Amino acid sequence: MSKNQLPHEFSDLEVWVQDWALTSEAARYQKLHTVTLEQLKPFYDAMLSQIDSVLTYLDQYTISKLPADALILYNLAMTFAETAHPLDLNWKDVDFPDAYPWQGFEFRTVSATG
Amino acid sequence: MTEECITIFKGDTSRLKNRIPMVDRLSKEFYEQEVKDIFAKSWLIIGDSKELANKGDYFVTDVPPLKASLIVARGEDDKVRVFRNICRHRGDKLIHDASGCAKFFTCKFHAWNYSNTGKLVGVTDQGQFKDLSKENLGLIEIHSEVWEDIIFVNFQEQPEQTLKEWLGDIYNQYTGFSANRVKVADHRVVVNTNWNLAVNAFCEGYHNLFIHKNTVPDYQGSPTNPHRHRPYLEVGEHFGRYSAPGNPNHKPTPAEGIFYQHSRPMFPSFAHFDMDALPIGVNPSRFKQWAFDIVHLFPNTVIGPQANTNSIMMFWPISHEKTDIRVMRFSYKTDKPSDRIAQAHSLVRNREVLREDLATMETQFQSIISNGLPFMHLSEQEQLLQNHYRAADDMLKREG
Repeated sequence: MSKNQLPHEFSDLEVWVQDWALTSEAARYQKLHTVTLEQLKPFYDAMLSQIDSVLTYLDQYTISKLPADALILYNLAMTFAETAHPLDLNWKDVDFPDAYPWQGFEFRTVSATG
Repeated sequence: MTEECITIFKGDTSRLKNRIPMVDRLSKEFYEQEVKDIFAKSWLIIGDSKELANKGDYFVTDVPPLKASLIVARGEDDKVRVFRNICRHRGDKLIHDASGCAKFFTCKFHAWNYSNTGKLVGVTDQGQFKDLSKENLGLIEIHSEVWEDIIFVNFQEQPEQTLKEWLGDIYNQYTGFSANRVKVADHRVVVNTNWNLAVNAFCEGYHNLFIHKNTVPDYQGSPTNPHRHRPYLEVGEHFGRYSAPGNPNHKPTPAEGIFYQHSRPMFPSFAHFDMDALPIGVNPSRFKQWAFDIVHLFPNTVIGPQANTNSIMMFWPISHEKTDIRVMRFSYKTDKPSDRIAQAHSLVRNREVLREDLATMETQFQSIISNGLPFMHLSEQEQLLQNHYRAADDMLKREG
């Protein structure tokens, strides 16, 4: 079994790190649109129940000085922030009816982190 | 008791029309006229100077209707200039990457070398050229002005109006509105529609009760404003703007609620904001439940000032039936993790809203070019669209 990558307070989120601790908006967008709602839900449930403490924990640091384990937790929280809306809004799918095709979007680099 | 929101209308509406015949406007020939009479003569927005923080920073962008590639650079003298991305030797494209920082730009064809202020400083084997004067062969500069960090260009040899004259009264009304912000998103999408329809989709709030029901069902309106009328709406010679009414009873979704407890509320939550801190052009009527403003800068840009964020949306025609949409979003500078996470959530909600807007434009275009719609009918809440076609017809010198 691989070594724990998250701060020990959040060890029960460890199981999500490999697939969900993504480092760019484009990667998170791709992830959202290539899972099913059933695959998204366990991640959403796990993160929603802890996001309040995750944010409190992360805010002890600044983004530019996040320790390695907190940076992975930050990326997990970023993926949650960018994939929460289908369940937050009670959609029946990861996308909504008549949405403009998600593949059409191109993401340019931005100055802010992550 | 339900009371309608009374819109404060401002500006000269005497020449606006509420029925617009559309089919001819979407033709190839009409588009060619628009390129000549509108895009080649207007002040056009091409980007934001926040991307050029340091001397030597540059980015390359293009202006599709004029088929122009441009270098936008902050020179050693700290001035932002816009050049055609063309080497003066034999016309090869000078810079091929999207952005960077450099003191000099060197053409990869024969290594002619230019300073970041546009001067030709080096010609390989110059002795072999007869009568070549380097002083006259600097990069070709396009007229540009920076207004509130927004970079405008004008392709006329001598612009008929300065940017200040072009923007009119609003020129002095936005001082500092986007200061201390950084770019947090830059999205591009090419849509099979005409640029006019693309701009129009972002210039009225009449649609949001319906088209945005999936993504932000309750962000605007209230029991006293069920049709979500704009509290303020103004038209000017080359602009139109309105304020959007935030819903005081907006119910944040579960994740949204937690993010904004740790950080500053942003779209689709709109906090009460210190109106005294706003420049007079932002939320001009100081509407209490203010959500955001939409400012259409004719011809093809919409900017969206908001309390903790703002956007620039550019709608560039590639042809009469294809539009390159570029959306840049900015938010306050921060190094606090929960702020960036909350900003990310907000911009994703915005992105999904945009995908709802995009979905209407292609089908609308198809319907109109089938010659199935004699007129587009526009309400008073859609005055910015009426004004868009008035401004276009003025430049095209047609009666409409």
